[in-house]
Amino acid sequence: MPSQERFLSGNLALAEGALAAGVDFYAGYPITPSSEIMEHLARELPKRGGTFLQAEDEIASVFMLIGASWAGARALTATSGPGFSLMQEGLGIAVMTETPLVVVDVMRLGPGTGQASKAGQGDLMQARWGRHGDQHLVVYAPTSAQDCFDLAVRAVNTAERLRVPVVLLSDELVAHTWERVRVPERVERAERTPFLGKGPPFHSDDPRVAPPMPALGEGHGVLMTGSTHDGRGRRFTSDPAVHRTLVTRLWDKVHLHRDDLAVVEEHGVEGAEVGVVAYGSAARAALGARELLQAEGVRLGVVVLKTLWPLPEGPIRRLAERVRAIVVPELSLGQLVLDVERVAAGRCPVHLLSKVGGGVPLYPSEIAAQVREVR
Amino acid sequence: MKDKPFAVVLSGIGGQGVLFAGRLLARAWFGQGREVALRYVYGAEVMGTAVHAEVVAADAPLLCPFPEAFDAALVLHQAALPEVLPRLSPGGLLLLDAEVEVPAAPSGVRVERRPFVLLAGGGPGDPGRASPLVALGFLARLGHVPLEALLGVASREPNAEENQAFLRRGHALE
Amino acid sequence: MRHPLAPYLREEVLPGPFCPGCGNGLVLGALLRAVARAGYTSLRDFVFVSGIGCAAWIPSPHLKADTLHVAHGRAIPTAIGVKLHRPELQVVVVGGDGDLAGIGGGHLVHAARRNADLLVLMVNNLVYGMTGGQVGPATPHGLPTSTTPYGNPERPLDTSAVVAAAGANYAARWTAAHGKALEEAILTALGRRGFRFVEALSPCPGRLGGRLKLEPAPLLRWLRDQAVPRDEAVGTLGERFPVGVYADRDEPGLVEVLRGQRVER
Repeated sequence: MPSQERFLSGNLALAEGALAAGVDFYAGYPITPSSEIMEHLARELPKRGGTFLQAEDEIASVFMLIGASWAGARALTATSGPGFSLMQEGLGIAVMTETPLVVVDVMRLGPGTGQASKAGQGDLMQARWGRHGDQHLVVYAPTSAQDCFDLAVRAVNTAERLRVPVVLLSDELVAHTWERVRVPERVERAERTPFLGKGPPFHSDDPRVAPPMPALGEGHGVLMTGSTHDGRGRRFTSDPAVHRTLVTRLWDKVHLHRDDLAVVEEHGVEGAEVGVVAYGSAARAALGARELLQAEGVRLGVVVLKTLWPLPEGPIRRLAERVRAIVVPELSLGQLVLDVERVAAGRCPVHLLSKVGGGVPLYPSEIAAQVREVR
Repeated sequence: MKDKPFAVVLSGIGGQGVLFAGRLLARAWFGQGREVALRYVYGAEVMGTAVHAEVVAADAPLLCPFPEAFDAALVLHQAALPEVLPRLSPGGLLLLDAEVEVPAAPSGVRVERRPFVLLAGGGPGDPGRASPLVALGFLARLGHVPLEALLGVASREPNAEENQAFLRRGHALE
Repeated sequence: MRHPLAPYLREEVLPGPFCPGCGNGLVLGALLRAVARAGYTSLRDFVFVSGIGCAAWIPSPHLKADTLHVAHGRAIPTAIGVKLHRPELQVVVVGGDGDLAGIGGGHLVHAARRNADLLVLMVNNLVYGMTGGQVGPATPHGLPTSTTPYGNPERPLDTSAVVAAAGANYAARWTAAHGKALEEAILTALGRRGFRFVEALSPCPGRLGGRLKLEPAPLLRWLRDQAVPRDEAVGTLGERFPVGVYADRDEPGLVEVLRGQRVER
């Protein structure tokens, strides 16, 4: 497919990816370091017949997306930590009502208002577990401007295909680094399965298949509720079986797709002495470290996770089976490392390389030094 | 064998046009088919605080786009210097505005001073809005980027003729 | 004989869940009579959006329409999302005072400011009914509730006046005892563009009646008797309930303004 080469920041590439994926609704609230996404779409969406609205807060933003999505829109918003916290309420409702939408969280340093324009990777567990109740959603994480474009497309398509909210977990370093981006003339677009009046809109015997989604205004008498409901959407506020059936199916809908949702890069895992598991900007440093160590004859295997949840456990397990130790570099006090330890399950020691504060990137030399130490 | 990546930082204070110049340099290299990464580093979006544009160019895809050390630094305001000095590579180039004082130049670093701010029409109380462009012109004179590439990119931006004149002014410096 | 409003209802879910003497049925009746008089033979072109609370259950699941039942306080932003993407649909929000003026109060004010093309019907029962009669944003000053056992120390929000001041095209307050006036207000609102707000003071026999020591019928009479025309109102809100029209404008709604910006591109 013919493509165009452009020089874009991660945020601009992400906004372009959203447009390519057919996003036609954006409601959001400005916040550093995500605002370039919003400003770009404020200019572009009205030109293409789409809708852009600046909401009064992030809670309103995500609920506007829920309404627009049910009205048939491909809806996306972008925010950062403090706004992402506010959006958890809407994300929970979106999980429960099986509403396709995409929330971009460009991570900065927290907690609280933290360091507003500085990179961090402290929202990993919030993206997975930030909502109350048993629930699952999909989280992708870009490492480059190219990933920002590609994963924006993938996030929108996954949301539509599975009827699930998708989080795109970027970080300030990825968002504000300008790089070469190949922008294809056209990208593949997945569509939600339309409801044609037959079968329940909130149940599927095969949990891997999202139920068809009825459009509004078609006379279907849509009954959508954030409360526990049966396949037709009728509220059941105390029946144990209805609740268990629903939340189990919603969990399985994501969990059972963990293999085909996994976007993972494996670099030199075969024959590696030491491994690194990383995502986002830290993954770029890990690849730099691998090159540095190659020159010294040290064989480092790197697993780059571009899908974070459901966690691609297979590649982590395979790495753990081959190497003497795993290093997990993170711009946080250590979150991914907890799940890498769980998956490695004692096959090899797992070491955290934590760097947090000031938005300073992890550097290849720092990862290389840790690798030499644990080798 | 490919050359190793070349990392340069343009540093000054908000309002000097550092970010614009950084983008110009990055696009000039990008337009020549090189692999380029550009990143802006700043604190609160307030005029007068230190601002940096980090640009890396390479002949092969950049595995890591975050430069740990700089091969060249163009520093246009005293306030930006402390963050830059510790990250200069041994053997690197430190290009300073004539008004910027270095307590002790790092050993092995080549220091060049030129009146970039003055040549951009700045002076006391005026940070010289185009001083990073004059400095870029001088960087071109030193052979790190072709002047034509910078002029070409500038031609597609607002105030093209004025900006090109500043680039040429820097290029003409001895 | 079939009830004339039956075509608008999911008859299979009736009778509804509301307490005997609850005002929700009166408000629902006024809404559907207005819908019928506006010429809609079905609710096919309507989308009803509601949050959490007893009033939020008026449309969901009872109306034979598309109904979105979302989180507490978030009906208005959800409805804005629907309306902006499908402007041809009549989008109506139904909720209580706690839902719309309490937890969702910020959204309400901004929807009015934007003149978002919605009809919002606020059923004001003066307390949090579903959770057991706690104080709400519209509870009269001094009234004891389960969370203000020594009397409500705060003053009630004059929601219709706030919405009118924020820029709504239409705002009116009546009580569930003023069936005809309420129906007329909803009918007027249905025919307008922009943001339209109708507040219906409504009896909560379980949670308010108990506190006031009033049986359902006397409670409804009390609401009616405390109501005074807006321009004659004296005394504080809560002792008296001013009723009437608070805003009556015809400025372009958000949908039209955004459409204009698209065309200019």
